[in-house]
Amino acid sequence: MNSISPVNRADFELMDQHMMDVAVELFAAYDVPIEQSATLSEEVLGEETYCMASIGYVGEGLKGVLILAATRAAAEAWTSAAGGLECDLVDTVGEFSNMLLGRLKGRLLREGIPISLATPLTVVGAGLRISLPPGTSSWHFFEGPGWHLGTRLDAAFEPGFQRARTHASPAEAGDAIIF
Amino acid sequence: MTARVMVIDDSMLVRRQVSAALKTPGYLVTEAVDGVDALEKLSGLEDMKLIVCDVNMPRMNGIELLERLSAQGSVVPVVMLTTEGQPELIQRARSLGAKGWIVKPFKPEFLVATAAKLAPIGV
Repeated sequence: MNSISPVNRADFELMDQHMMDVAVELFAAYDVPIEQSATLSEEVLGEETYCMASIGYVGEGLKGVLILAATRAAAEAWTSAAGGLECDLVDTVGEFSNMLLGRLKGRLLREGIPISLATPLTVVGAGLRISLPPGTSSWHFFEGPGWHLGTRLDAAFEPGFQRARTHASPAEAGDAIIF
Repeated sequence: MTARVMVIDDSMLVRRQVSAALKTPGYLVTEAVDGVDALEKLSGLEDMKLIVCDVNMPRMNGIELLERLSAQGSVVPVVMLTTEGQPELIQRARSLGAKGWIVKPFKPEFLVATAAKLAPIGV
């Protein structure tokens, strides 16, 4: 993590912990187990990355970006897990980033950190590199069966940022509500 | 007999998933990539029985589309299919006439059951 005020460090660590948890949960929901990798790094993953998706988010006194980096094998595996449909691999990475941040949004809402999401922006290519974050940032690397992925959560806190006192209970992934 | 359904999502993956789920019991599925595309296609399709719609989309999002459909007096039932679960958004959609809210990733059997309830084939 980059420098961050002690006041906001606990908030970011909370967000970062949820980030790790929702990544594992999302792929488990598709019967694709992933494990955190102690050997992967931004440099190593960067050499293998086929596609990156980023989604911006904004809250009261808070803004940032989620980045999902995937190898080609990962994108193929996720497309297969999602039904084996004839589909654009880049689109698959974008949609998984969307579901990842959607889950994180639900978790943060429960913690008194409501955010709104933009739509995913995806890029494909070799040797992709990402600029440094404007605030604090944290990478996590995961391994699936024969493939890798990385997530980076960026957050910039404005002075005076505070978590809301009232914590809402959002609908969870897989919920179906008929009015 | 069949019934026509529109799926609106900027993700091809989700459009394909929804289409595959709904084509199995016999629905005819029309795809749109966002609210603007949906309105254009809906103007030429008068037999639409159900709309399955994402929330976060470029150009026109799902809530904005609901507002437009409501203003037009549309009676086609709309089910939102989204990663969002925020109570205020769900309430906003409901107040605009949405009939359901499903959080991704969805179970195909839930979607089919919802479609069967809101737009039964053969009726």
